[in-house]
Amino acid sequence: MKKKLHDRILFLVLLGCAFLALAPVVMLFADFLKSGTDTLKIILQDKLYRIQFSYSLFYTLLSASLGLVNALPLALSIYLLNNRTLCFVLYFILFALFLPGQVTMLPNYIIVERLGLMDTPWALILSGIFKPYSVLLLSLCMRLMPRTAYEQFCMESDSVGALLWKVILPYLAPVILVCFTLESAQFWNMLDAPLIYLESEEYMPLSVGLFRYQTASAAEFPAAALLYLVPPVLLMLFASGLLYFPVRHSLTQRFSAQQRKARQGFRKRLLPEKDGFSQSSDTAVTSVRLRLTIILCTAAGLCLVIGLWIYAGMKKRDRLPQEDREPASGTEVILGIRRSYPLLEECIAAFNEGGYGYHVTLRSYDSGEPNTSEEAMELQIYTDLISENGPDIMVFDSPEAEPWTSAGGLTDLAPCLEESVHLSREDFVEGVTEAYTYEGKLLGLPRWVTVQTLWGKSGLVDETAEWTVSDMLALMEQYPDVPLTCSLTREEFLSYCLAFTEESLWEKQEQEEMARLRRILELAAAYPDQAESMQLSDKCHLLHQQEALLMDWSFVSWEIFRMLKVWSSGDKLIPVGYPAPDGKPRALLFNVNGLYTIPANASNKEGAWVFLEHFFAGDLDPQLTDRENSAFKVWGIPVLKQELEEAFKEEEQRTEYLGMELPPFEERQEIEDLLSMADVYEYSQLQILEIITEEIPAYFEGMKTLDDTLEIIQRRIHLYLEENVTVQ
Amino acid sequence: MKKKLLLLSVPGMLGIVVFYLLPGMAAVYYAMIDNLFLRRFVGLKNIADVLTNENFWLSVWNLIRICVMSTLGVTGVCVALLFIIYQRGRVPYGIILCMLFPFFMPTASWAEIFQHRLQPVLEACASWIPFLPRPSVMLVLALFLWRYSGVCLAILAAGYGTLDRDMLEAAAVEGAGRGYCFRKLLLPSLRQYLLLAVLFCLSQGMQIFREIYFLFETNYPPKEVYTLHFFLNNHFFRLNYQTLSSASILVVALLLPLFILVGKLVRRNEV
Repeated sequence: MKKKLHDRILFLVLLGCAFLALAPVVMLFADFLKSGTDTLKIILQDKLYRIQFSYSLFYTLLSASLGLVNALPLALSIYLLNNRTLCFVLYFILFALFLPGQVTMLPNYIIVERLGLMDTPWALILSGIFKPYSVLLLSLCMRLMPRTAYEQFCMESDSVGALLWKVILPYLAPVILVCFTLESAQFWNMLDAPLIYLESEEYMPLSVGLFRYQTASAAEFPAAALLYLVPPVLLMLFASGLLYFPVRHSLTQRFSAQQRKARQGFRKRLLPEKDGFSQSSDTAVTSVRLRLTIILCTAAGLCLVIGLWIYAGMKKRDRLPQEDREPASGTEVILGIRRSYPLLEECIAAFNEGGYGYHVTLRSYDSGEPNTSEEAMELQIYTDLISENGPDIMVFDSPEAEPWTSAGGLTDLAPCLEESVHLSREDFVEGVTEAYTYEGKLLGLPRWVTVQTLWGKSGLVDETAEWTVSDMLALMEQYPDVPLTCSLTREEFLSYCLAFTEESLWEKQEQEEMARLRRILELAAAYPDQAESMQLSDKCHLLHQQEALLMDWSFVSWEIFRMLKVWSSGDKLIPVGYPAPDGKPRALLFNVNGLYTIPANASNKEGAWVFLEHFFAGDLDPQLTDRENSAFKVWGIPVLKQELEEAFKEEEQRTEYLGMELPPFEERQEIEDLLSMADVYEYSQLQILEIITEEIPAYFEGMKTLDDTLEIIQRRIHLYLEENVTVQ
Repeated sequence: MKKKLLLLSVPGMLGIVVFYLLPGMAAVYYAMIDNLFLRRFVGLKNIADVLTNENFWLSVWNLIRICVMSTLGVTGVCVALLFIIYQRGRVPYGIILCMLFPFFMPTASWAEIFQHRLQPVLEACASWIPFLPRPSVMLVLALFLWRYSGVCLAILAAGYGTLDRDMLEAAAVEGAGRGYCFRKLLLPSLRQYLLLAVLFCLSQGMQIFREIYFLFETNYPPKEVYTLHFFLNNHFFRLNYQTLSSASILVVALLLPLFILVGKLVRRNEV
């Protein structure tokens, strides 16, 4: 009775462990029931889901099987031969086991690229089949086998296949299954390798694809994730009997008798007869072989079917029209961009047809899927740019280009401008080239920009005075009942106050600065998380009524800019700028449609510059008949002085917009002033702002005190700033 | 036979050379140049720089701490469960299968559950029980325990399944208690499998990055879980490949005694 109770308690402990392990699956299942069983139908009808599911199966089965085929002889050699070379291999396997993935990332990328396997399923399979853990596990477990079994076998035969089939397989079946299971699980959940080696969405395994459902279609996510668990469950259920089968009994003794009989015929070789050993042991060995054979045959069959299907798909892809693929030309220039836009495509077509001696090929990193992962895109751009097959022209968003310049990864465009016959530095608006000059190097050029800043009413703000965060806070304290700007959110308020904060604030932690930071965070708590967007005319009206102290506005179009003075009811609006520690008001400069750069390791810099020269000079622009409604219309301010002058002239002549009468154009000076005060976000400022906006919600939601939040923010920012301390 | 075996192991060796040895050599080269683009030889300057970087040491210390804590945790739990299995006398296949489930669960599925449902619970626990590690560390340990316990138990159970029970039965007949048999007979017999389980945990612990990244969704997690991989990853995205390579070489050098020890254990078959 006592023993039974004891046994039940122990069983309950095991059951508890199983429940804890399954709890997330249960939660997932509950979420699935909540979102409705219809989601399963939706998922099954999703073509991309089906494709990625098939690819996951293919990658997992083929790589895990090939990995085993690869590991078994190597492990056997290490076990049996034990010479110096193999000893070195063993040490190296241990080394590989602990080597951080980031170290092998770039060299492996280069190897796969050189083999011409980029963006093919074979890149994943080849890089995945050499897994050190399987070799180690197998070679270690082989040491448990009695060596006499091997020695006796050698006296009878010298076939490696027979050795594996008759000695190793029955003995190590559980270990082989553990290996297969571990490898399968790793492939089933792989994340980094597909992001590095694959670009096409349809080649991605579902382990990556699932994130798409998590972010975009949360309702379908539980169904998608549950369905993805079905193959591993089937594998585990089928292999479970093998995992723990005791097949070791008297292997050594059984062996010689088995061999004698084996020589008598094929049938006897596969099905050992009962020759004095226990029937259960022989049945176990047969069962082990049978199950392993079924697993391997199923894996091989599935791989073959999916492989043929993939092959057919790739053939179909190869039959695409020639112009859709990259031309194999020595004068090829590759232009990399996150997302292309119509005018650029038109300019590239004009360049390719214009006889400039080079052919530009567009490489768009955004596959066009609405939910392409930002992280995946970033990783692809980075690995691509580091490798020798990177684009010759890279179009960045401006802050992300900054680390490339500091690491020497971008070509300085200033000398190119000096030597050019089509363009010179003087052709560009001065403030803009200055804003994109980093450590004395012109890191890139935008063709259009927009400027965003704070505007205030004359009388409330002074046009000539310095404008620091303290000044802004003083203005807020002077008018405590009036919000700083209309429809202001916490994040916006924080960015106004901290956008141009110097790194030294975070490093020194001076008492006065910290007190101001506390004040800023306290003030930010008063603003909502989200706010409805407001028409500019309404913003102007509120400013006029003094229901807001300032107005945040970025240049969207010439027409709206001209309407400001109408909507402001006669008030003089001053671009007071974002506050900065030096008191010099700042405006934020954003490039429109990207910053054009030439990577340092571009293989065709000359061709890249020829394209950029003509692109910036406007030689490639299509002749537009209806500029207003043209698909090629770009809404930013041109940075080339000549284009800006043309835009001014065009505006001076325009008197109406879509039937609306426009006031006379008198804002030429304001635009020029805005451009001269404009500056770009520094990469570090963006990172610091990101850290603050990530941590601050915990304080706003009452989960953490202000002191705790500030401490966490400080610690994280320190981590970020100190990380780079030793780098030149 | 030996020649045939060597011939068959050539692809495996070649793969390890191409995908591990060459990248390892490339890391040595990158550690000695100023950056990826100018490629000027600077000798050991990068290594000296990394040695003076506080964040490097913080990340190494965090990695070792988390790795050791999680390996001890997982191995401890698995040995305890193996003791229960031994006491009951039969392997509960179904339960081990259930415990293997987390290893197969896609990252996208568990990240949200740990992040939003378990973290508040652990934070509450940390506020009640003062001697517990910080919630962020507990979260990582809980994840590690949940994800890898099943695999380690499966490895140990596979070993238990192939074990000769006659010895245990003989000891029991002689009057040895269950605890004594487990400690003095069963565990030593399973030492190879224990080593495999520990090596598996250590290798997973050394590679622990994605897990923490998805738990905190940032490149700058709380200081106590900022492991070496964050340091390496952030430098990768800052294009400081020379720093990344130097840090890796230093880590390998730090781990060299461990390699030698494990290698000797494996070769001598003495755990």
